[in-house]
Amino acid sequence: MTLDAVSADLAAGAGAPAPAVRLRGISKSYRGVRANDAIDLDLRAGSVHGLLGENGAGKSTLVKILFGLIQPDAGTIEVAGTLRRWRSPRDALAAGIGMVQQHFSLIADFSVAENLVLGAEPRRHGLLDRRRAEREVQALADRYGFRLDASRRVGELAVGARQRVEILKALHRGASTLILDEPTAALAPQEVDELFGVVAELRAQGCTIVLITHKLAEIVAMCDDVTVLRDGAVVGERTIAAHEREPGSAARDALEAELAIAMVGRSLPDPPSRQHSAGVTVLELRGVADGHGLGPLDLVVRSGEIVGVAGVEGNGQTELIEAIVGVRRVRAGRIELDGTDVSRWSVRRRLAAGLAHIAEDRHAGAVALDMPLVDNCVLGSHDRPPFTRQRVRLVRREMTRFTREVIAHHQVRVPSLDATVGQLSGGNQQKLVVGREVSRAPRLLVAAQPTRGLDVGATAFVHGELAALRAAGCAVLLVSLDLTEVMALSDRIVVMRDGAIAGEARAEDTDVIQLGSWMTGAGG
Amino acid sequence: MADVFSINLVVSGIYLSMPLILAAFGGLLSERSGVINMALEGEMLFGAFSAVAFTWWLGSPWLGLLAALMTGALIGAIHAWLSVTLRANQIVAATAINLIASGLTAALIETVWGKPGVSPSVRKFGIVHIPLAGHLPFLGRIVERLTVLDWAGLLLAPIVWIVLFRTSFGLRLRSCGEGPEAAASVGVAVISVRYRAVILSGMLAAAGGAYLSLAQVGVFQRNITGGRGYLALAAMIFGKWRPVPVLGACLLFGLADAFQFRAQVAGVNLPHDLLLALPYLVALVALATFVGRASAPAAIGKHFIKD
Repeated sequence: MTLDAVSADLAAGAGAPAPAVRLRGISKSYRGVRANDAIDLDLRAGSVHGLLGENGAGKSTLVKILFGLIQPDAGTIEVAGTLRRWRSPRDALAAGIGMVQQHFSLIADFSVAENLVLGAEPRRHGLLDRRRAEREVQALADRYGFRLDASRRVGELAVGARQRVEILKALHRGASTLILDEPTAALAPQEVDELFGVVAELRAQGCTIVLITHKLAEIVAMCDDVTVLRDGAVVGERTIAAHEREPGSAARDALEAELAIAMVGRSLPDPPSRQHSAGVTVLELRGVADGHGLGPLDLVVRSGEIVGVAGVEGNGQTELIEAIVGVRRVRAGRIELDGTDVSRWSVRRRLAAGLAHIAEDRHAGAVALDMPLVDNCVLGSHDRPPFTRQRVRLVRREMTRFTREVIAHHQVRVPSLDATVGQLSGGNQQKLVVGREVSRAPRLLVAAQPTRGLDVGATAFVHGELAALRAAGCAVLLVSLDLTEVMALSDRIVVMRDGAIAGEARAEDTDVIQLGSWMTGAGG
Repeated sequence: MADVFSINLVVSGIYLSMPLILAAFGGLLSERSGVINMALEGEMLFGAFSAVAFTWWLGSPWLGLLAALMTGALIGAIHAWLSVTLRANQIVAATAINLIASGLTAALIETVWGKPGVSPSVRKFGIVHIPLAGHLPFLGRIVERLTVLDWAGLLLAPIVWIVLFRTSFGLRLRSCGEGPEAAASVGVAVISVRYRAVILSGMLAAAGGAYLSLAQVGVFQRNITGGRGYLALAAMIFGKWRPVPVLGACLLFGLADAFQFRAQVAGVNLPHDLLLALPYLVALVALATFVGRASAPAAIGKHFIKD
């Protein structure tokens, strides 16, 4: 089912019974920062309610309060007209409120059925009745039209299927109001469509859904009502009419613009424009394989171009990055940087040759949280002039100067220059890393998830930096799970599946459907 | 050489693998629940000591075995308290238990029996006579020489398998080792489950120690276990935390041990020390060549903090 077919479905059945859940005056502060400020929210029974907002707008805090994961400082929760107070998520579940979180709470080693019955297992003669468990879970899956095999190990399932298991788990435990926290973040386009089909089916069977996202298109396509949050407060609230879902219509454009302005507080900047002036080959991979899941694959990145790598999480992107950066041993093939085979080179030598790297997981691969800003800021160039003289002596003055520069140029907000990186917010940590790597004026920048955890403004800023690097003749390899990002920035897009390149196209010659089918291996 | 390979090799292989089996299955229960159990060695030592001490005192190997099980439960409870409640580093906590076991049991020999190094002999477990079993071809020769503890050990593999994979207790135990947060979110009492698993683990390891002292030799001597707790741990890892392969690994190590004994007796021309080290070498080679990913429980060694 396509996104638009689903939305047509939804529009057909919009009724308006009494609110299933009513939140009044919900407030919550963390160390003086107001995450939620007197928020009111009504969820109509049997509706899909969108919660829209940037990272840090307070969406997650609000639903965690609704699900009993955290306690509000003030405010009330009413379910079906009765005032309720949760001590834990178990209370919320008992009242029919379930939540599917971004990080799944499933046990990979267990079957679908085992995951669902855990905690309330059917027994027979004192033993676990696995057949009954599987039968019941399968029946539940079938009832909601989920494509799932109850006897499969969860670890073998694709991300989309795992998410269905997670939804099923909430339903199995009696939830009739379901909170979906950024459910499309890790999904391929086809999986997103399938999820939307699932949401439509749940709604048709009487469930109330809360959909949290920062993606406008999803809200417009899926939701009956939408609430926009910014800086912890409600800044917009409306019902979406059927004609506003019409793709390409003026009404839809107006709605999206209205929501975007409410969400960001201003209009979004235009994405950086493309240019077609790719120069000489900077990075070339030929038949690269690691002997495990990666490759063999070929890949070329030229100076002055951004090559986007798309794909569902876990299809070899991490391994590819590691191979290029030099932390993963390559068993076959060549990795050439400016025509020189660097596949046996150490990371340090590659960095010296002009490689820069924005790590996928900044805590694991880019910064040391307990170390000061200045030290973190020179990591990677710390052993070279001007930071090191006579090969041993660190020049603190140069380090500090450079750090000031990075902070100023890249709009990193820091409490003081003596702070540790751990004292910065996630978004500012990421900006520091981006700034550090960009400032190295590299030949090749490997940018892995460069905007993960950034708000819309910071994301636009990073995108601008990548575009500027391209204009300066740097070769950029952008690896991202966010297809919108890959499509907005790249000159060429390659799609990875099972460790190999499943497809490649110029950005202007392709679309979501083609990329999606490469990502999943389905159809054309 | 023909003497070395015979039916007796198999029988003594089973004898020698039995303490490993008991301890390794103990380790399996603990680690499947998410608690690393390096303390098997110390728990075996304590078990071996109490078994002999109480048999000597009360005159019955059954009471000795019971005492060993209770000692194991106590040590297991201490281990669980350190590792689960206090969230100590599990390796360090276990190492402390092992060091205390080694020192304390050695010292207690002198306190209890008045002379250092070794206890007096006590009554051993008898062989279980199964009518007609002796007439079975091949197997009969093995069966007619097994003691109660041998039978218990051999039955342990299927029992542990059933408990782990066919009961709801087992499902919950494994859920604590694979995803304690997920388990807690559906009402599994992670801490209580881990306590029970670690205590059971101590009891089984102590039974393994009791087997060494009570079924094999009938005395306790200082450091009677000689690293068998670690060997059991190696067998558990080599068996990838799965009951049947773990049983196989224990039998393999036991056979290697039996082989070196018989080779010594038969006067095979190899250095004595090398022969003695054979089971450990086999374990080393087994672990070094062991290829396998993601076979350990996902949350092993990770502390669970109840919120």
